Amino acid sequence: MHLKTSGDPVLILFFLIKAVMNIFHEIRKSDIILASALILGCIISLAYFSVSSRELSPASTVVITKDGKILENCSIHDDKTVDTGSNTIVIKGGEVYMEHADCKNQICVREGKISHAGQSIVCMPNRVVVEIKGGDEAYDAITR
Amino acid sequence: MMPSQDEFKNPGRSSGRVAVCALLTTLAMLLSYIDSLIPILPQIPGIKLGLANIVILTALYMLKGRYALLINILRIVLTGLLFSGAVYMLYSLFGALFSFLVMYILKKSGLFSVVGVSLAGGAAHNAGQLFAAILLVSNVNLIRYLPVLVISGVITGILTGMICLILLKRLKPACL
Repeated sequence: MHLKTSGDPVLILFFLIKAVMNIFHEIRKSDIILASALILGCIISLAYFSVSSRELSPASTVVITKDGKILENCSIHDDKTVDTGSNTIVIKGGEVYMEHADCKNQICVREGKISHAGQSIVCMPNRVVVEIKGGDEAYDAITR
Repeated sequence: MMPSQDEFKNPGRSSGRVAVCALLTTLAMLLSYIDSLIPILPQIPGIKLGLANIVILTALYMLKGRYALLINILRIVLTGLLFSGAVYMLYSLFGALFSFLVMYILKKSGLFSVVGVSLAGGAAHNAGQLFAAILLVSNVNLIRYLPVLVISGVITGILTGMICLILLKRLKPACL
């Protein structure tokens, strides 16, 4: 009998709905509070981060670090290619992208081009960070 | 881990436990490999389904906490050696230990169901990994990724928690 009924799509749907309803019975109020508190906190901080990065607005400098040490600090309008030994970073036409990385996962290469202040590309395995900074930092560097 | 006197008297039970732990470790390894094959959002690194957490949660509820911890650490070391490499092993070890701590405390508190424990564990895993990354890369600006990672951890945690809830219901009569 079980074999016969298991092929019926209406019955399958019925059991599926019943199983899902059973799950929702077991979820407690505290679970929902925890989930919504976490998501709300995240949305607020996300909004804060996006506002604070907009204040920096125009992208001006590109900072490339490896292991926390600064390898390159130049204007975003310089067209150049930086080789850190493990990664190749290309700065061209106001955009920055990771051209090559010798790591396995290639996440940083797939991340594509960045061009706004506050954006960054990170290569975790090689600990290379490419950041775009905004504001007057470039002018400061020149006038100093 | 010293076997207790009870386990010495009853070798059948302790060897059964070894078998169950080995089975769950293999299952967790397999699931974390499948996890790495499914890209959800390739633009944002670090977002995964966290399927292996189903096994860890099941172990936490069906066995004792120390077995779940053992399975968790074994899974990360073995998958790290086999697939992902030493640096990634370090990241996931950080995330897994932090999430295990959170899940253990929340389970002990008795306030939450499996889904609540799982979603907190998912969020804690991603947060722990990010903190490891901040320490290793030594760049504080990475904290911008935190909200996105925590939200994704909560969503995937809810899904894995629901799967785990069904599993625990079915497994109860079988009793590991």
